[in-house]
Parts: sequence; structure tokens; C-alpha cells
Amino acid sequence: MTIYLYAIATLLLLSILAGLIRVLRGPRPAERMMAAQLFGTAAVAILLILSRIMDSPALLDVAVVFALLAAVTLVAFVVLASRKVS
Amino acid sequence: MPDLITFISAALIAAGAVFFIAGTVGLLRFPDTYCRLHALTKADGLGLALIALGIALTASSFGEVFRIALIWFFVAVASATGGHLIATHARRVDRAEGKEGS
Amino acid sequence: MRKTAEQTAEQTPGHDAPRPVRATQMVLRDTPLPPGARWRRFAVKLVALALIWGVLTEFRLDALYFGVPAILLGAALVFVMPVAPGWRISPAGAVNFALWFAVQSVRGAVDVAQRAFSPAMPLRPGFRSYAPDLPGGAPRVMFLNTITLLPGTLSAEVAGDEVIVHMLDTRADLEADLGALEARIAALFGLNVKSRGST
Repeated sequence: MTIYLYAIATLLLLSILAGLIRVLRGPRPAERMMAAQLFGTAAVAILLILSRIMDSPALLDVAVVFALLAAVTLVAFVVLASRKVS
Repeated sequence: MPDLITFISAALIAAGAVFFIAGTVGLLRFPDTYCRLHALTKADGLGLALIALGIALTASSFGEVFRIALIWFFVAVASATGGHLIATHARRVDRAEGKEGS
Repeated sequence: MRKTAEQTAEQTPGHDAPRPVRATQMVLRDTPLPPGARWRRFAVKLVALALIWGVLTEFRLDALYFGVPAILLGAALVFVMPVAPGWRISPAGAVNFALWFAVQSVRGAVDVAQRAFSPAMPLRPGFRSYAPDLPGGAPRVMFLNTITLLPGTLSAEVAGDEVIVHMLDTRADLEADLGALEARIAALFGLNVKSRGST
């Protein structure tokens, strides 16, 4: 099970990296915001899996903080970028 | 019985990973910002929900299950709201550049 | 037609023309409250936050050093923030909504995954507008957020009293889908909103 979970976590990490390609190719700020959102969601998923692999519930607390921060980050990102437009 | 739960948990986590990959594929392949947002919010959202469910099945205490549910809830609300904000921003940029998106 | 409406909303904020409305303004109308209302909300928030804190820390007493100030500050936010109209949730509606929502979000994700993996990538994207009948506040926020998780729709912008929805396939029946969603949300909040068909 542990090796299996490691494989899944690696897969998720690779999907974040592939998302980075979108950031590099998509020149608009909206694509960068999407990458931030992808990072947030995937990072939380990876933390959930790591908490099971390492059997450490403390990582769940890290995931809670991540989930909250990802939301705030995204809102700040959009608000700041919108100021430049209008 | 524990074996069965482990198996279901593993299957849910694998299904979650498939949706994450679908989200990334959509992000890379879809033609415009708005279509990519669909992929990101829906596929990744379900991916996380399935992984959270898989992890929660093997949790050792109620506190852990509650925390996992809370995490899922935060991310789900944040991702729907974030998708809306990004789309609104993209439309504003479209208008500023003189393109009408519809 | 929607285009013109949107442009007037954007460019001529006169007296008669619809003023540009931001999502926050549309959903957070500062309604006058009876005097005790804020204190009652404060109490409700206090209890809810204390419970969440308790479960998160597994009711450890030493965690209260941080917990008590955090809970008080969090609940005190009701005195600073604009007050949204009150709402209540119907238990039966909530159960129905949760089940329906689970099915719909799976359908939405499967749909978008199929499109992403399909070599032909069947997309016919475009924007449509929809004017919801739901009242402002929590029901509308719920509506906007749920649109994004339904198959093929994404709430892209709020323009006046209309929602601009982005669709992966504009041939789908948006009115029917969102009308059904509105009815579900009305049931969730125990509201009596006229459905699309009856107006």
C-alpha cells in the first residue's frame, strides 16, 4: 500500500509539473492564476496521501492551512491583477 | 473486511488521480481560458473529493475524518469561487483588449 | 441582446441605466436588523467556532490558549462585516441537495474528463446569460458556486441581475439545467421561489 501511495503522490506531482507547461505557454495572467489553483488543490491531495503514508495526522493540519491559504492567495492574486486592468 | 476497505480506499485514490490527470490534460489541450477553467474546477475538484474519501475510509479517529471533510469543503468552495473570479478577470481583460468573448 | 445590456451596464452608469454591480454588492445587501440580531449571530458563530476548534484539537485544554482568542475574534467579525440577509436550511432539502449535488459533480467531472481525453475534443464553447429568481445573499452565492460544478457550465461573471455562464457546449439546454438548480436551492433554503416554468 505504501509504495502504491507513493506512486500516486508522484503522479500528482507530475500533473502539477505538466500544469506548469500551461503557465509557460499561456501568456495571460489568467493561466498563471489557474496554475495557482491547480497547485493548491494538488498540494492538498498530496498532503492527504502523505499523511497516510507517514501515518502522521499532523500533516492533515498542514493540509487545512494549505486549503485556507490557497483560497486567500487566489483571491489576492485576482484582485491585484484586476487593478492593473481597470 | 479490513482488506476490503483497503481495496476500496486504494481504488478511490486511484480514481481521484485519474481525474487530476484529466484536469491537467484539459488544462493543456483545451483551446481557451474558459474551457480550461472547466477542466480545472470540475475534474480536479472531484479528484480531490475521491482522494479525500479514500483517505477518510482508513482514518483512525473521528477527528481525522472531520478534518478531511473540512479540507474538502474549503477547497471545493475556494475552487468554485476561484474559478468564477478568474473567469470574471479574463472577461475584463478581453473587454479591455477590445475582444467580446461571446 | 445580452451584449447591449452588458455594455450599458458597463459604460453609462446613469440614473435609469443599470448601474455596474459587483458580485459582493449583489450578494451582501446591508439589510436593517432588529437590535438583538447581531448579538444572536455572534452567539451562533461563537458556538459553531468553538465546536470546530474543539474537534480540530481533539478537545485538548492547552490548545485553548490560542483557541479562546481566535474563537472570540472570529465571532466578533459579525460586528465589522456587512450583514447578509438571514437564511435557514431545510433539513429535507439539504439531504436531497447533497445527494443530487454529489451525482451532478461526478457527472460534470466525467463529462469534462471525457472531452479532455477524447482525440476529437468535442467542444462548442460560448457564453449565455441567465437571470436567476433567487434572492440575494446565501442562496445566490450557493447558486453561483454550484453552476461551476454542474456538467458543462461555469459561472463567469455577474452583470447586474444576470449571470453570464460559460458553456462547454452551447447546444445544451441551459434554461432547463439552471431552472432545476434554482428549484433545488430554493428547496434547500426552504424558499418559495416561482419556478421558470410558471412565470
